[in-house]
Parts: sequence; C-alpha cells; structure tokens
Amino acid sequence: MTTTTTPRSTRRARGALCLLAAALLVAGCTGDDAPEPTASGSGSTPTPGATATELEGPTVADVEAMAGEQVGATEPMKVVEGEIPDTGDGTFAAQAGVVAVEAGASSTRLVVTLRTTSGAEEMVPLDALNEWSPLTMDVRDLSVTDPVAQTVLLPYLGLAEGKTPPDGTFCLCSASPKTLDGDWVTLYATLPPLDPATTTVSVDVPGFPTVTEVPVTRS
Amino acid sequence: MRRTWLVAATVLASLTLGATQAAAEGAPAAPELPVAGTFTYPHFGKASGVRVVGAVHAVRRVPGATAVYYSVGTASASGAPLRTNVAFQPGMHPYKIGQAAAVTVTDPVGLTAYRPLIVEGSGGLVSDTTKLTADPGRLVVVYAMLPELPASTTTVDVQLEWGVSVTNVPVEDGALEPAVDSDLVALGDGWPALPPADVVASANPARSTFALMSRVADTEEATTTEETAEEVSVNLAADFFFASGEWTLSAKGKAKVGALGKTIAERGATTVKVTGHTDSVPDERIGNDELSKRRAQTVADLITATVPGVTITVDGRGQSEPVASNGTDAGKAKNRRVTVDYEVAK
Repeated sequence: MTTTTTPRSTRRARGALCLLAAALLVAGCTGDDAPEPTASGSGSTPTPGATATELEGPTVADVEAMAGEQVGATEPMKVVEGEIPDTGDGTFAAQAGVVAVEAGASSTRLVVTLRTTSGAEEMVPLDALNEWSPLTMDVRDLSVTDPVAQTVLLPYLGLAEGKTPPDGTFCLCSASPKTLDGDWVTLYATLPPLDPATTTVSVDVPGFPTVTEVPVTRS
Repeated sequence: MRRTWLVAATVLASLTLGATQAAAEGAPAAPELPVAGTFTYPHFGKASGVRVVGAVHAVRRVPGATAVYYSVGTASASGAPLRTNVAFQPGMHPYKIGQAAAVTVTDPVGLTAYRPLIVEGSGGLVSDTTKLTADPGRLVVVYAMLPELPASTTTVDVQLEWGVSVTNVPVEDGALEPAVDSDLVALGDGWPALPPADVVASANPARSTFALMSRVADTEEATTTEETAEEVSVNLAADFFFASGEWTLSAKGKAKVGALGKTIAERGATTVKVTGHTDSVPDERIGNDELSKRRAQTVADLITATVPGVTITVDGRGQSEPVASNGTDAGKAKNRRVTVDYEVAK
C-alpha cells in the first residue's frame, strides 16, 4: 500500500463541520464519536504526481458523519413493526423505519431502513419487497403516497430497448437485502416528483403498516 | 486552519445546499472538494457485511461523454480494508470483472437513463478496481464515463452499487482537476484522469442509453400509469371498473375513463390501443377472450366519445398474458385488467 502524505487536521475539520452544521441548522454532527483516522492510512494504487497537488478534504469519518446526518444518523424518524416472510412458510418479526423523503423538482429520494426485531440474522426472500418480479432482485414495491396529488409513487424503472416490463428492467432502487439482523440496513429508491405543495407523505414497505405523516424535506 | 475551514465550508455547502463553490470571501484559492451526496450499504447486501460508505462528488460534461466521480471506503470502525469485492458489485456483461460499472445516471425530466459507455472487447469506460486496496478509514475516488447528457439537463440522479442513490446532482462543465493518471485515487490526492477522446468516441452511446419509466398509481388502486418519454400505458384494474363477469362500466369507472380520455386529448395522442385481459378462471357465459374484448371495447367507446378524432384499436387477450401468478387471489386480481396505451406527441 502506498502512503498518503497529506496532513489532515481531522479533529479541527470535524469541529469546523460541527460549527458550520450548527450555523446551517443541520443537527446531529457526530464527529466527536468517530475514531481518529491515522495519518499513514493508505490510499489506493499508486497515484503518480499526487503529492504536489494534494487537496485537503473530509476523511471517510467525515463523510460517514455526513452520511449519518443526511440520513438522520441512520436512525429513522419513524419506525413501525411488521413481518417479513422467511425462506420457508413462516415470517420473522422486523422493524421498518423511514429515514428521509427528499423532494426534488424532478424526483424524490426515499430512504428507509430495516432490521430484525430479535437482532438475529435472517434471510430475506427475493419476493419480500418485490412481489411480482422477484428475479429482478430489487425493492421496487416500496412506495410513497402523496396526499395532495392523491397519487402513489413507485420507483422509476429503466427499460432496455425492445423489452417490456418487468423483463429487462432495472429499478432505481436498492438491491434486495440478502439478510437482515439487529443493525439497520439502509434502502434507497428514486421516485417521481411530489406535488410542490406536499409537506408530508405516507410510506409503504411491504409487510409493514403504512408509515403516515412523514415530513418531506426539500432541496 | 483557514484552508481547513474553507474545505469544510465547501463540503457542507455542497452537501446541504447543493452548491460546489466555497463561500469564504477573501480566502486563498484552494482546490474544491465537492460532495453532492453520501450513501452507505453493507457488503453484498448482507446485514452482517462490512459497511461501505461513500460520496458522489460530481457529474461533469466532458467532450463526448459525461463523467461521474464518486468515492467509496470502509469505515474506520469496521477494521476491514477496502477491497474491490467489498465495495463493488460483480461486473455484468458486457462490463468486465472488477470494473466499477454499476453506475446509472438518470434524467427524470427527459425520462432517460444512462449507463457506462462500452468499448468492444474492453468493457466499460470506468475505473478498473481489480487492484483496489485501502486501509479502513480511507476513501478512494473512481470514475465512470456515460453518454453525453442533453444540453438542457441541469441536474441528474445517480445510482451506484447495490442501488444506493444520490439525487439532484448538478451537472457542471469540465473534468475535475487536478487529474491523476490512475483509475483509483485516494480522496484528497486529486481525481482519476479520464480516458482520451478517441477512446470515448469509439463507444456507441445508444448502447448505454435506456428509457426511464415513471410509475404512478392513484390512491384508489384503480389505475397505474407507466410513462416513458415516448409512450404512456395506463393499467385499469378491472375490479374497480367492472362487476365480476360484466363489461358495463361502473359509475366511478366511467368517471375515471372519462378523465383518461381528456388526458389523452390534452397530450395530443392520435392513436390509442385498448387491450383487455382476464385471470385464468373461465367465464362460463361468454368465455375469457370475449369478456376481455368486450371490456376493452367499452373503455374504447367512452374514450372515443371523449376524444372524437382519435383512432382506437381494440383487442381482447383473455388469460393468455398474465402479469402475475393466477395461484393467488392477489395475482388473479392483478391479471384482471384493461390497458390503454398511447404515444405521447413530441
């Protein structure tokens, strides 16, 4: 592994991030809890000429903290209890949480999380979150209900030329999780835009009660 | 310290406000480190897998292509080093093993999706990650080259490994600088140099361009509309529009079809195709083929009344084209449907 020579004032940067976050009313900077990265940590394969033009920037801990902030420090704002089919004829108890519904002018990003209630690791069958086309191995049955437009939004699908759904489609959503355990697993979906006047939505995760009154953030 | 503040401001401003310009007036010039959004996923979709984190840094217009820069790494606390098989999905044909090719850029306004450009025999114009290695706590930047975006596209959505996404990413001009002659560059050490123009020009953009389909249902579970840039397909759930075994529209069904007709007229469609389908349970009175055709005809007649100039073709497919298993009640209900397809006027 190569050695990266960039001096990184990580703690100061994190403090700066926290202060800026406060100034920007972004809550929950968790940088103090993150471990200090080593200055001798390796980068990647050799990067000739890099040392003369190095940038300073966030370490992975900073980005991880940012990801945590963006998705609510991975803790969902609303949680419901439900059941997910197991790979046999039964089900296992699980929790679904909504982390964020981010409305843009032309699309909506949904971020949800799942975990088992017991904390034990369980396998998730492909049709748990994709009832009608499980072989596409994604979570295309996640949905958001817009109470203003009276519409139910489903993730976008990409479509290869000459193909008809569901064959040959790919979902703008996460791959189906293979397993769940006691730690939240984050799932993403990109959906059509919400009505500009919409401030709260309902979110449906198959197997779980509808999560209602979920606040929408707008960029 | 001042430089650190500048970078921190840049990062947070980019993340929070979607901008990429540092705002510290009077500060010394410093290279930008844009972050359009961040993501996390467990290795291989397993909850117990190593947690990978990362960031989308930029989407840039470059000659003949669109460059996506993003970084991945493992968290310090994981103790696990970054390896190609930890961070990246196995390459799918025509991409090669080890290529960071699970990148999709979408333009939801133009309803178009783009994937990495392909050069025959070489796979994708993306970073080769086969030699990827990094200690826990370090991010590595990779790139992907996709077809050119329309000039009117100002923001896109980016989907990466295992379906994680960052939305509303601004599209800006020019490759990131400084460029480093490597497919893999430690975050902070510069940006991967992009392939030369002649290599980019050898790829066929059409092969990496896909229609994007939006899917919107109504809250009564009566209609689901699937729309691409060229075509609209409206699925009418038969149980909402018709009584069992009947082909006369219900009152609420008439209202829905009437509204659909108005939409078709507003969108300037000149030809419409209406197709009926049933589940696998035989209709004792007229048979499934005939039932599906009569239902389609009923819908077509009302659309014709609403949009007099439109040319409509009607078909009844009976049970021959199921979209779900007929082994469950839910599947049967999904199969009982009438579809209304029309092209969108350009």
